[in-house]
Amino acid sequence: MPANWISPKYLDGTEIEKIRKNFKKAKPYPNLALHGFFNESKLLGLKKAVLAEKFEKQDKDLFSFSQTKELSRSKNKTIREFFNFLSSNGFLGLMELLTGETLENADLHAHLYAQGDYLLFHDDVVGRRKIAYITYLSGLKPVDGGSLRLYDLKKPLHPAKKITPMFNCFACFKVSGKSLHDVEEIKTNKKRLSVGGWLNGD
Amino acid sequence: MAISTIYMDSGILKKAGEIYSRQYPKNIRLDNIFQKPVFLLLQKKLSNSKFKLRFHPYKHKYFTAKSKDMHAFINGRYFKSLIEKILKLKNYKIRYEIRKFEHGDYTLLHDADDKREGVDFIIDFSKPMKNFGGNTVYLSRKEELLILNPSPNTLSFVDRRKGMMSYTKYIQHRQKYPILQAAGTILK
Repeated sequence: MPANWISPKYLDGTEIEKIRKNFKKAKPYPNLALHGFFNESKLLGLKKAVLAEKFEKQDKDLFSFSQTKELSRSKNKTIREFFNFLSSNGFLGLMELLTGETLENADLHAHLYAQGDYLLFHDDVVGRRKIAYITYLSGLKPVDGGSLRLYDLKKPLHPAKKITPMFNCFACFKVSGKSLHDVEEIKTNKKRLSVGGWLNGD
Repeated sequence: MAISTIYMDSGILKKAGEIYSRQYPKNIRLDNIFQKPVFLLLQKKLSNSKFKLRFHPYKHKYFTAKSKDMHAFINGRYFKSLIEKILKLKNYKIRYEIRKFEHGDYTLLHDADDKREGVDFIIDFSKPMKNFGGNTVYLSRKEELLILNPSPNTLSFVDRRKGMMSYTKYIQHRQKYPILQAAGTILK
């Protein structure tokens, strides 16, 4: 149930309505970043479990980072519990309320960015993806790089919004032809650890 | 613009042609292509050129410039001799650009979608640098075939056949100097 994983303040009706409005009117396209979104002790347990998973380096024209396999197949109990929570009617229902999208299921990977890693411009439009989401399991300062940067398609030289990774920040945006974004290169020896993926629907 | 005297020697060019032909994909890198004073002069002139940004988020981000010196070289007798004797090409057209990659610059595979088959060339005017991006990567749909790292005063030829694509790897912040190249395609 949402109450097990999500901080109680984000389950308050007034707060949900406020977030829903903010998501809709956010620039450059619908997005949100919610700090302290999850139950902190549960997220620390998840971080420990994720770090025990196998990460493989991915190095292509578009990106350089390390990634786990699809975490729905993880044998770890905590990770499975988290994935089942993301796939639950409670969480998907909450996200439908916040985003106005009809959502059916979730997928989940963990990503680790080290110095020199990056993800270049793309829009995430593939298949049935409706909402891209990420939960940060480590915190960075702006000087470290690693920000999620959202761009106005008409002004792609400078980001319209930057989300600097902070532990227990949940961020998401609506996937569409307008959802141009990238992940800034990591410029120091800090690591950017996150779990995320897409919420899918028709 | 004179190339190094060794590349004016028919025997050397014949040998280079043999090396080029037996690689897959066909390719060769000629080191010290220009005599050192010529290279340094060209490097300085190109560095001081007026560059314009070429940017399409889904395709590429880098700078281009025009150079009378490079135009003269690429359309001149020394380059013609290399093409004829190493690549064994007679009738061809050349398309090229002077390009500069700085921190944050890149090209993606999408950029190569409409590229015609031909022999790619890169004349490299970069300074010596560590491997923090700027590599030109050639690949087929199945596998990576060849990586050319930036290297000063080199000329590389790569026979880019149907189904082969290339991109220039994102330049990391640790790359101290810009990558400066005359790069193009010899269309058969």
